[in-house]
Amino acid sequence: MSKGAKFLIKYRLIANGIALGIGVGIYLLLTLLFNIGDLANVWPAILSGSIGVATVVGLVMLFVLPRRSFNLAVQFGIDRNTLWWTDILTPVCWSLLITILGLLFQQFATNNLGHNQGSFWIGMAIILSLFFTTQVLADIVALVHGFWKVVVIVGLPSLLMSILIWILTCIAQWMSKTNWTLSQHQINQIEHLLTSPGIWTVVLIVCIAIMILLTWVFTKMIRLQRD
Amino acid sequence: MTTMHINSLSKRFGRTTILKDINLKFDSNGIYGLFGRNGVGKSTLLNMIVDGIRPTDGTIEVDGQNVKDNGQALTKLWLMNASMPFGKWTSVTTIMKWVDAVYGDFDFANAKRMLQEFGVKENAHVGRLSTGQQTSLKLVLALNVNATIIMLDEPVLGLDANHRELFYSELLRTYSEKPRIFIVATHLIDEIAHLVNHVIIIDQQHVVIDDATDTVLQQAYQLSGPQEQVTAFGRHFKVINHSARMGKLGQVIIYDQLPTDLKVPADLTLNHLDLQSLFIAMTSPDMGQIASAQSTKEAHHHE
Amino acid sequence: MFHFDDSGPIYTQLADQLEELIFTGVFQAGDQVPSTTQVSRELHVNPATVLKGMNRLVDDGLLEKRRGRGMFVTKDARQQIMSKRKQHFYDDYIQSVVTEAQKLGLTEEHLIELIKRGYQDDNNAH
Repeated sequence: MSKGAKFLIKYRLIANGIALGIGVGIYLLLTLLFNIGDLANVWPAILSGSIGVATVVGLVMLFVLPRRSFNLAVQFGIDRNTLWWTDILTPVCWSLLITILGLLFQQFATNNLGHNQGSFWIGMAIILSLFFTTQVLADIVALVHGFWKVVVIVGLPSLLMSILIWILTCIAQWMSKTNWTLSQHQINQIEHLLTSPGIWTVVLIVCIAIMILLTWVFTKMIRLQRD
Repeated sequence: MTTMHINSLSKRFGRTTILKDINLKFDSNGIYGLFGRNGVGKSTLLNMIVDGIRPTDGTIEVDGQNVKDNGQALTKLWLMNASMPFGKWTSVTTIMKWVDAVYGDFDFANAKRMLQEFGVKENAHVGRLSTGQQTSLKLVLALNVNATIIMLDEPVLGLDANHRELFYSELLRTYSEKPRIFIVATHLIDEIAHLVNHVIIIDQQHVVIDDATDTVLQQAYQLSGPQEQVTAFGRHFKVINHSARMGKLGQVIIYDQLPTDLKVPADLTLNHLDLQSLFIAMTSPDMGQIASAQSTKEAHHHE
Repeated sequence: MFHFDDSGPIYTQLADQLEELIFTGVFQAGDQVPSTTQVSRELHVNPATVLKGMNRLVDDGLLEKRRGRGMFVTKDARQQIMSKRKQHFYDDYIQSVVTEAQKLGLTEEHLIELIKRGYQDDNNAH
């Protein structure tokens, strides 16, 4: 790895750490505001609401951190491919770290506190992962001038993700209420599935994969257009 | 020694072509002057060299390697321009450490000395520096970074006369100690004319001059005297601009190799031209046409 | 100290002006002249240009390089300059004086008178 790349990773880790703090703060605030009764039943609303917040924060951060890292990269002779990889690397690292911590805490909480705190931490992990992936997109987009492109490239995938998850949670809630062609047992199974950390870890990984894929596609398109 | 070749470089923004088929070779160490009017594309050209912007056509090669997405080639280059890529809260010392981390062998001792001369405190952070001090900081970085091709885009913008003098001295000092390739793009041509040993002038999308300073100045002349005789005698050479000055007196600017034993008619004066005056003549629309158009207008007005 | 204009290449002007300083005795035989770096920095002239000018004086036998030490004025530099200037005195000065005198309609005798007066005034001044 070039000296420039190492330098940029370190810089991005710090910058993302700060962004992380903001993301966590907002999420905790929302959780407190929505904290009516059992967290486990309120999490779909928190989840999709927070995704929206993360997207907005990501967009705001767009013009602060990513622009600077692109300008710095150019100043320090770090090529775009290296920039792209370091940008993918650092947020994904943070996301994985948070997910692992979340899973560990969930275990601890379940074992020692008798609470199923899983949904809280998984929710947190997903939001922050999406947030950081938004950051990645924002960085790539920083190579492009023009606000409308930013909105399309950063906003659209995040919006799609939010809608997708919202649809899933709505379906789950509706199904649990209407016994629709499913037996109670099946509904219980689904509910259990939707509240288990395993499935959401998979969702998380799939989300990141989709985001990376979309980023790649959009970058190629934008490069052809702008350059 | 690092070499750089710019091959058939073109750049188009939307429908406007700003640079077309630019070919330049930097094969030896030296201080190259890059001159051109506002908006001609000097900054864009320099930005393309460091892969900040992609060209529409053509390539830039450093030591035979294309700079595109090439971190190895790009760490041989350093560009100083109007942008300040460092955050408001970053301190001068931190910045120097970063440059050292990426390029290695940063000359801290010399940089610290220069910072003192320019009146920039090491522990100050970027947000607290005035525009002039920020420029000074960027200059200090550019002259002490371990790169072999260093490009300075309007390096003295916002610097007072004293600091400009200081910069020229420091540039020559570091160049003498460590010869490398410096490319300086500036509007203050008369201040830098003796520093540069190679002149590149870009005008209307093309390179119009790319030669050693001595060679350029050797061909730059001003022929003045009675209008008719100036025109008659000047006709034999490459006239690049002419203006009617006062009454029957006229003047032409010639850019041509003149024979050493040339006999100039008695009423005419042939002088050498300085670099800035040559530049102005070369990049201005023909002053003679403007002047004659004006006098025609005046004639109509009096009628 | 040094002054450059558009009269010709900088390296030529530099060499000429250095030569003048040797001629007038500012730099004596065996004296070290300022280094290329010093001149470059002080006068804001490209080092390659300075070197070119210095090398002309080396080629003319007015300066010599002493490895590791710098450039020094040669023993007979001044004599060399003198004889060169004597040779060119007619071209550099006499021709233009005669041309100007003729433009003003001064006769040869009148011109000789003026030259004699010039020597007298010069003697009186010393």
